[in-house]
Amino acid sequence: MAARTGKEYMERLAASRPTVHIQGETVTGGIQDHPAFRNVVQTYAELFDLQHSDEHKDVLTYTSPTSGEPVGTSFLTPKTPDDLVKRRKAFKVWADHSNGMLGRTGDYMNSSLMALASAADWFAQANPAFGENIRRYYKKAREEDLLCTHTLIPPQVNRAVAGTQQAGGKLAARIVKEDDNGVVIRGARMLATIAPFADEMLVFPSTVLRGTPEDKPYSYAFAIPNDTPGLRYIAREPLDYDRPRHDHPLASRFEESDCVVVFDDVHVPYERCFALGDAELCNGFYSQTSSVVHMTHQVVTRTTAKTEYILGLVSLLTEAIGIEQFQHVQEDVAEIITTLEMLRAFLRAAEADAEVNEYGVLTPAFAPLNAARNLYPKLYQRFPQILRKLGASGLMATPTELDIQGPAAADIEAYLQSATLSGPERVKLFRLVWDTCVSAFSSRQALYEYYFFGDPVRMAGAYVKSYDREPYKARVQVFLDRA
Amino acid sequence: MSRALAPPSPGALRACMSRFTTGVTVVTYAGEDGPRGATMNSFTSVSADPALVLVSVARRARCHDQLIDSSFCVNILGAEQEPLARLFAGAQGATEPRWATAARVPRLTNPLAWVECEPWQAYDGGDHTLLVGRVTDLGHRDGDALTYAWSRFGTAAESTDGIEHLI
Ligand SMILES: Cc1cc2nc3c(=O)[nH]c(=O)nc-3n(C[C@H](O)[C@H](O)[C@H](O)COP(=O)(O)OP(=O)(O)OC[C@H]3O[C@@H](n4cnc5c(N)ncnc54)[C@H](O)[C@@H]3O)c2cc1C
Repeated sequence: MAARTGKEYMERLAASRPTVHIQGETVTGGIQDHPAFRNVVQTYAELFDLQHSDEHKDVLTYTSPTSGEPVGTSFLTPKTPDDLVKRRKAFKVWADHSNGMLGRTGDYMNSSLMALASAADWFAQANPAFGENIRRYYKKAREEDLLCTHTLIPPQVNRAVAGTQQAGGKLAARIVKEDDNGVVIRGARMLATIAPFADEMLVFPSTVLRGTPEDKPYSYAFAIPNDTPGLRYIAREPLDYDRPRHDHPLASRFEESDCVVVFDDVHVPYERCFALGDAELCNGFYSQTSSVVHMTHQVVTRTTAKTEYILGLVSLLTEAIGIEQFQHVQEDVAEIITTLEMLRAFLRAAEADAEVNEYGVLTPAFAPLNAARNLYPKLYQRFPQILRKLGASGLMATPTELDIQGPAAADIEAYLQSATLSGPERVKLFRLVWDTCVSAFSSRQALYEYYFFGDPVRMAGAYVKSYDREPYKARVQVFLDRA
Repeated sequence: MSRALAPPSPGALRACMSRFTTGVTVVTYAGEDGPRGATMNSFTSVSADPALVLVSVARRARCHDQLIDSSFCVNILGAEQEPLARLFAGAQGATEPRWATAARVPRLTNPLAWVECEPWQAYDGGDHTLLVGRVTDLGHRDGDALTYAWSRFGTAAESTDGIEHLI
């Protein structure tokens, strides 16, 4: 099999029967036709189609080592610098298609699976079967071009105690039974983005586990189809209000659903488990396999695309209403430019300093990617803030497509024109700015950028702990000691 | 090196030992007129098979003679149980202990963990007796632990590290 087309993705989705609770309704299948999902599903189909477009197929696919068919580049195990560049270019094509608004395009988890499978020997330490399972699963995902979501964190009940102890250990997803051919999972995980229209759910390690017997039921990593019996999703209220694209240009295309995940005695066969009952394996899952590095390579490429979009948008805005020449406006634009150039520099450094890891995978340098990952959650918050400040009342002078064509057309033409744009053109632009910095969709984007890699506060703690500062201390000490 | 040969002053010994962080336990047992207990941080595990633990009991402590031959329970205290530690260390009116009903050997309600023992062996430990007990029953709950260092109580938080520390 090969890289899918949009049609093939839709067909598989149509045959799938995930259970999704949304706005009081229980949907079991037919996701691609549901008003909450059909637009974003369409966008995902477009991404799959890009893999077959003349313009992008060379970058978005490579030849599968097993089937000889073209498969997605994000599955490519990088061995040479060119491989890394190709991976980044492929990430960029998809990220550009959504202006970086889609956080969970398939390449995100594909990158993780690629790295995990390369480190199959590491999984095999605990049990040779786990090594085999991760290798087999990666191959399946690659050849069937599966779209995966993942879910990590335990329910937000009481963060004063460990994740495994939410409500006395009765809430977070855990192994409650083991039988001859697998395990049974009961409980919940907090969030899975794109869950309703993904093919598969990756349930990967969450909080740091202690090696004690109490933590054993929480030590697991596995993958299951989205419509596995007993698996339920509780979707948040959709932010795609099924409005015309003119009026909601982003929400009507890129509204990734976020869902709480409920495991109601979900049976997971052994062949789909990558770790079981082994706290040490779970705690090393991301760092020991380089998985986090390849995921971050994709993420920083996406946030670069998003920053380019913001720079383009703010530039059209300032030109449109003639505020380019004011110094504080230039200062804000400069902030966006420096963020963009910084992200580009980080990407370039990560690729330039890439090294082959112990599993033979050319792995980007983590230091620059890690810096980017720690900065962007906060840097992104400035963008909607800047757009709101510069857009000002224009962000409320945003009648809809029907008004532009209706009885107010002449007024819109006359009074909503701008220095460089006609009334309708300006309204169209400002609706996009509005959807980037004022709408519910835009708030969710800001929350997403802030939290999706984890809490920036605790990330900073982990960052400081993992960073070797001894050489710098030593240098200062030498200076102090200098006569 | 000559300093090491002279016996340390009690103050110096205390100063040294106060830098060693321990947990805090209340060792409980059946006294002549009801359940009794004493706060001790000289608790340590000794052996897994057989399961043995040790507490070091001062010879001049009131509980000493009774403990030597009785079953006892080591109640490991949670962070919020400092008043109990103070009470069983002799503080007046600190709090009222609550006793687990139906326990074979008297024990407190809801300690962070508890280890019930029967006497196994007692050894001479100078002005203390090293009391080794064989574990007959045990239990635990979740929560932060009460600690003792620098002659002060403190707490050790249960881990709440999230994915940030994994990725
Ligand atoms: C839009 C969106 C989409 C997401 N999609 C996914 C997904 O697809 N898959 C997935 O697995 N996850 C997803 N997440 C979850 C994301 O990983 C978490 O939001 C993130 O890890 C933070 O955890 P939390 O939300 O439970 O916050 P909490 O841990 O509940 O934190 C809430 C607040 O309390 C503070 N706090 C809590 N505990 C501590 C502590 N121990 N020390 C210091 N401060 C503390 C935090 O600093 C924060 O301010 C998504 C989140 C968002 C917002």
